[in-house]
Amino acid sequence: MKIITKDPLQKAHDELENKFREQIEELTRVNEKLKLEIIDLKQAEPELQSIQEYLDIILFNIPVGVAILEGPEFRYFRINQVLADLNGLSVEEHLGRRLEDVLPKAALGILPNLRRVFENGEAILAREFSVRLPSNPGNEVNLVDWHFPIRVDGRIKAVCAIVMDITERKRSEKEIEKQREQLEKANQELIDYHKNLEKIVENRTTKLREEIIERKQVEDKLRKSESSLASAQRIAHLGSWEWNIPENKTIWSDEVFRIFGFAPQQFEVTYESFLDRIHPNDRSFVEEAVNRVLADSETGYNIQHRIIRPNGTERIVHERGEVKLGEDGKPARMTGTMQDLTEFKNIEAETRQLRDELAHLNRLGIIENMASAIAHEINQPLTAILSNSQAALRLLNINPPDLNEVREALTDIADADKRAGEVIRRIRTMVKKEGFHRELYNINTLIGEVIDLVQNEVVIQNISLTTNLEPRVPGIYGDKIQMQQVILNLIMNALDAVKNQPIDARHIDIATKVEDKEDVEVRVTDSGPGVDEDNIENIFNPFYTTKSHGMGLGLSVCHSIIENHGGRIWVENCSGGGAKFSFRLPFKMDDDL
Amino acid sequence: MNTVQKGTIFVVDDDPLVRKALQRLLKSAGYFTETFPSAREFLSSGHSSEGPACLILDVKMPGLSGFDLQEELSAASYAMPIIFITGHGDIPSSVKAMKNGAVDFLSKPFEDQDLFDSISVALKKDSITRTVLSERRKIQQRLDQLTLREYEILTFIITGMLNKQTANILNISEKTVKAHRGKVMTKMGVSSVAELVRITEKLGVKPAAVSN
Repeated sequence: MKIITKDPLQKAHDELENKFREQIEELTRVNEKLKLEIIDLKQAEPELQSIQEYLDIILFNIPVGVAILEGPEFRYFRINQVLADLNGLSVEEHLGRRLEDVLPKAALGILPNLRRVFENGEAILAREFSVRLPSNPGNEVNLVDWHFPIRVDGRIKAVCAIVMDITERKRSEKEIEKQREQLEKANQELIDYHKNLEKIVENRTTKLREEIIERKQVEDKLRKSESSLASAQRIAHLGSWEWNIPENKTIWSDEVFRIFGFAPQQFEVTYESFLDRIHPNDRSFVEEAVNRVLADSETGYNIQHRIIRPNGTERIVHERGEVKLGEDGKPARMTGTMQDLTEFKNIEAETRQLRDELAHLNRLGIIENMASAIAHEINQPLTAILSNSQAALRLLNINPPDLNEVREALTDIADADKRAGEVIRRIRTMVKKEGFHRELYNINTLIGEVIDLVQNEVVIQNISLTTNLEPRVPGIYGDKIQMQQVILNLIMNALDAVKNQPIDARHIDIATKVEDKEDVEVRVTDSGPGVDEDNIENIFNPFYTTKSHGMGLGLSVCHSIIENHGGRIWVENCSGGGAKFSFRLPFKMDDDL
Repeated sequence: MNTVQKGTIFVVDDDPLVRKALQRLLKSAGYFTETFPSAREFLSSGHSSEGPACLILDVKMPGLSGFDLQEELSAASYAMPIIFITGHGDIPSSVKAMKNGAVDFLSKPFEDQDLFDSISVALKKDSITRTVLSERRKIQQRLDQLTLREYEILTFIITGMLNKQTANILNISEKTVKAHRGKVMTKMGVSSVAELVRITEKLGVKPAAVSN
């Protein structure tokens, strides 16, 4: 780069040098020729005139200033027009006159040189200097001069001065220098630019490299997150799917395949092949949910249903789905998740069973203690009564009968009976001590609160629970907590009744209605097996139970609470199966109640 | 009413109404009855009777419970048969009581006939016990009359050994053995070896340890 920029400069310089050399050589040649001519002139005087003429022609045509100054005073012997013009005088004004007279100012600088040449015979070649000439006093001109001695017969007689105006050359040199500088600057800039470019490229490369690394990391991360998503799906038994509706192509994540009992990506999935895997009893239900979402894309679906694996085992899955509309506004894709709840359900069921057992044991414990206390308290007088009466019978049978003893026995029987009655009264007051708070409440609100309590159970057991509540039901005055207990009891019984039914036949309905303008009727209807008709009369009796667990106290407690509230409770079997428990409460309570 | 023939019934129950009713019932059936309000009072009474007796015992009582009393009684040489009565019979405790020798376990309130049946079993058991005990007492009294040498000879007799063999082992004359033997048979009131073996067995007398 640098060499290339230097070339034109060097070239210009070299050209100038060459030009000079050529001119000097030319001058030297001319000089030699002049010498020879002078010799010739001396030998052939007649030719002198013509040689003189030649010389004059050369002198006056050469484009540099030439003067011959005769020593030792340095008077102008010859001067050509170029130099005369340079000095600002005519040729004639020079000839025969001393340098110091013609150019008094310039002479100071020139004379010592002339003397040196004249006295020592040395040539002074190509001395460059600048001077203000009278011809052009406003501007300094750059000159270069050569001085060399002129010998005649071996003795120095004169000094030849050749002067060349190099102002133009200097200017061009300066120009060239300037250009060179500019070039160099440009070059530097170029180099800098290049360097910059290199730096930029380097930076870009580094950046690119970093980007590549970063990208790789992102890719790695993505891959990792994909694999962790897959393992998360595996752990949670949660798969995701996407259904391209127009093409009817479905993409299942590996976990969905696993949930369905297949190897990941074992086959191409369509909507139909998905439906095929659903439990036959749940198929229409799932289709309905899907169709509902297809018709109304605003809502997704969120359902639980059963599926059948290829080996015949049944699984319970929780599925969510939502529709994405295409540009034409029609359903284009449906995406969703599927989670296998079977294990969860099993654990839930186990937990529930444990909880039930615990509750049962707890209940048994409490009731056993109470029953034992009650039994002892009651059995003592009963024993006395039975033994006394049997003794009395014996005493009557002997002859003669011991009537006094019989009388005493009967008195004791009466005492024992009174004591038994006392025990029962005591237990009653003990039970009553639990408190009876009367307040005005809304039975619909109360039912809602109880449903909230059992909601979890309802969902886990896949039971559909509906309500048909009379919107404008009058307030009821009574013990809210006790009424809550009644409703809870009836719903829990209904849950128990339906839990062994098929999954799509587990239904409970709770309804309220105003009857006869003075009662509110509450009905809890279930789709269970119904009540044994032979025992329908006993169902509200204490300790009557059809369950393998439980003491059979629930309904009897309901019965007494309802009666305490001035209402009544009854049960009937529904014509289509299941039982309906109803109770009525008056909403115009008497003041004393 | 001949109470002596029927036997004596002890009743322990903390409830006076029950005590009184049972006493009346048992009396009407011809039993002699003694009632106690607590196990302690029964124990300190000495509870002796001429004829066979049994105990009707309430399980749940303040202080010593029915089971505690049963345990205390079974530690003595003579254990009176027990009929438990309870207001809240539970199976494990009744099983335990029966294993410890109770005659029956009746839940209150009970039929008089069930009680009488249990009583008759208990009295029969007690009369056997009493017979055995009195027989053993008699035998013991006879054994106590023997000298040390005579007791030694007895242990040889009940092994079935001949006098000669006994004499050899004890290093005495056969004649001496024969004399002792006569005295033993007389003092023990038996006429045959077989009878001697039978009665000494009842008291757990060990035959002489002789190696053949």
